[in-house]
Amino acid sequence: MEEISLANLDTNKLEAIAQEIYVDLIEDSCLGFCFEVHRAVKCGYFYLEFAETGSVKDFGIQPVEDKGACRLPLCSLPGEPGNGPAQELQRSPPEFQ
Amino acid sequence: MRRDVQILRAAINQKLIETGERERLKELLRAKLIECGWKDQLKAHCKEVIKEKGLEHVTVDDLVAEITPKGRALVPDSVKKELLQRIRTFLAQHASL
Repeated sequence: MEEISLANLDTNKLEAIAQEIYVDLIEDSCLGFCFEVHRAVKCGYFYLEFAETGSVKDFGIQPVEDKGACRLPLCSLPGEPGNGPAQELQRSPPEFQ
Repeated sequence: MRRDVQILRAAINQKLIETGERERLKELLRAKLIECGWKDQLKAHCKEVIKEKGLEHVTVDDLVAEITPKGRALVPDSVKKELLQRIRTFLAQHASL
C-alpha cells in the first residue's frame, strides 16, 4: 500500500486537520454529556446526581410530605383503639383460612 | 489535491484509533473539562433547560440542541491549546502513515 506522508502537506492544511480532530473530540464530550443527562432524567436520578443545589421543587415535582405514621385503617398498629381495620377486614376470607 | 487530503484525514483518524491516542486524548479532555468547572457550568445550564422543557418531556434532541453549543463555547482557551498541542505532536510523530 502506498505510504501517505504528512510531510508533503503545507502547514495550513495540517493545522486544519488538527482543528478538525479537536472539534471532533469536543463534540464527542458534549454529546456524551447530553446522553448522561438524558439517561439520568429518564431513570429518575437527575436531581440527585446533576442538580446538587436546589430541590425537586425546581422541576415541578412536589416533595413527599412526611406526615408521620400512616393513619389508614389497614396500616394501623394492632391495639390502637378506633384505628383498626373494619370488622369485615379483620379476618381473612374463608378461602384463605 | 482535495481527495488526497480526505484520504489523509481518514488515515490519520485510523492511526489515532489504532495507537490508542484518540482514547488518551478523550480521557485527557474529560479530566481537564471537569477540573476547569466546565461540567459544573453545563450542569447548571441543563437545569435551566430541563425546567423550561419539563422533566417528563425533555428529549435527547432538546438537550443536544441546547447543551452542545454552550458546551463548545465554554471550553477554556487553555484546554483548547493543550489539546491542539497534543494533536500536533501526534501528527509530527506520525509524519508517515
